[in-house]
Amino acid sequence: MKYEPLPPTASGEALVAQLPHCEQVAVQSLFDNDFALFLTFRSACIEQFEHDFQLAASLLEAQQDRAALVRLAHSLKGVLNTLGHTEIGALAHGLQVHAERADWAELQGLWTALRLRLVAAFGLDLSA
Amino acid sequence: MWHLLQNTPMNQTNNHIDMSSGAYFTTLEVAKMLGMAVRSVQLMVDRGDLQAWKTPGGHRRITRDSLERWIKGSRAGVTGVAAMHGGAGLRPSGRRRHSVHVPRILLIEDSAHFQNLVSSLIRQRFEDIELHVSADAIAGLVSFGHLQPDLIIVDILLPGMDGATLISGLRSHALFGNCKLIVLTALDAQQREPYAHALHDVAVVHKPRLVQELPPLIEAAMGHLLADRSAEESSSAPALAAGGAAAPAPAKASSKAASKTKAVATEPRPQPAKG
Repeated sequence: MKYEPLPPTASGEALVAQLPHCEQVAVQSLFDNDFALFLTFRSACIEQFEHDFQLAASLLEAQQDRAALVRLAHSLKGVLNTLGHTEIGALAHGLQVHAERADWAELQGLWTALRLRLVAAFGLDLSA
Repeated sequence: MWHLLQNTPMNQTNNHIDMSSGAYFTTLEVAKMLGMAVRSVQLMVDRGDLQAWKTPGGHRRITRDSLERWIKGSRAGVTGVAAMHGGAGLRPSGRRRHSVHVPRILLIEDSAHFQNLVSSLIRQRFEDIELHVSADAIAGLVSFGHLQPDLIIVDILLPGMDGATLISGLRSHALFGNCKLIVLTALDAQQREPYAHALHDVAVVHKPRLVQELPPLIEAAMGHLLADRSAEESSSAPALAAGGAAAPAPAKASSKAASKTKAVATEPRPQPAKG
């Protein structure tokens, strides 16, 4: 079975053109120009980020489960790299590495920096 | 036809109470997971190898923590004697028996993001494949025993038991048989080194390249099953026609499977994506 993405359409191209450059590169280089799949994934990620934010907040407040924070940061690193946001992915990687040993105040700072970049990159609503 | 069947605690919309995703397991669940007889598991509890409590009715409930410790400690993983004790309904090959075989994938992945991406990809490109999702290794082992999938896609960094330990256990499972295996990871080559013992001869997909690399691997692992299914369905078509338009469709294995595992999402196929 050979799958081929839908041919570009005017509306699809217009949507992709509105994406940040790094995401446009990801559509081409990681998604084989399958913009529909990329947009579906991106939309699901934005929904999931809200749950990720809640999880991070609870982990940082409880200051107990470092392994869970490592996994969350690791998940975000993979997602961000897949979406083309390698710079923010590097922040997530930093959090993942430090989450094993750093003190919780430092981890809070790393998370805040990552969270702000996520909010800015994906236009997330902080009040939600 | 595409199904996403999930038994994980990550999906809170699932009303199905599944012991496999909780803190305790029944003796039967553990027996299936380890490929042992129920009596063997009962003896393990009596010996103290596994911690358990009893319900008012006298049924054992085995703690997830003790099971995890036992599997990690044994290194033999799930050694399995299910071929002797639990394989009555199996073919000699160890695979399950269905009138129409439904190609089945078990994804063991804790990241909801990548659960979504793999689900979207399979829905889009492999409409005849049934996908089941487990969010950690123990739930994955339970599902493996129940489902006997044709292909397992497993992440390395999982809660509790890591994917490499899980793979070692699965390989020694009596029911593993011809089941194929693909590892999915965001770890780079250097970061994977501690898990190298389990990754020998296993296809590894780096997550950012999932969309490009996973479909050909699924095709290679399951293409023959998809072809078999098409042929089976084609051959059943004339019989249906001969029976008249009102003849009921033959029961499909997918509906049988769905009755065993709560289906939390059954979505219509998206527009055919052909160039």
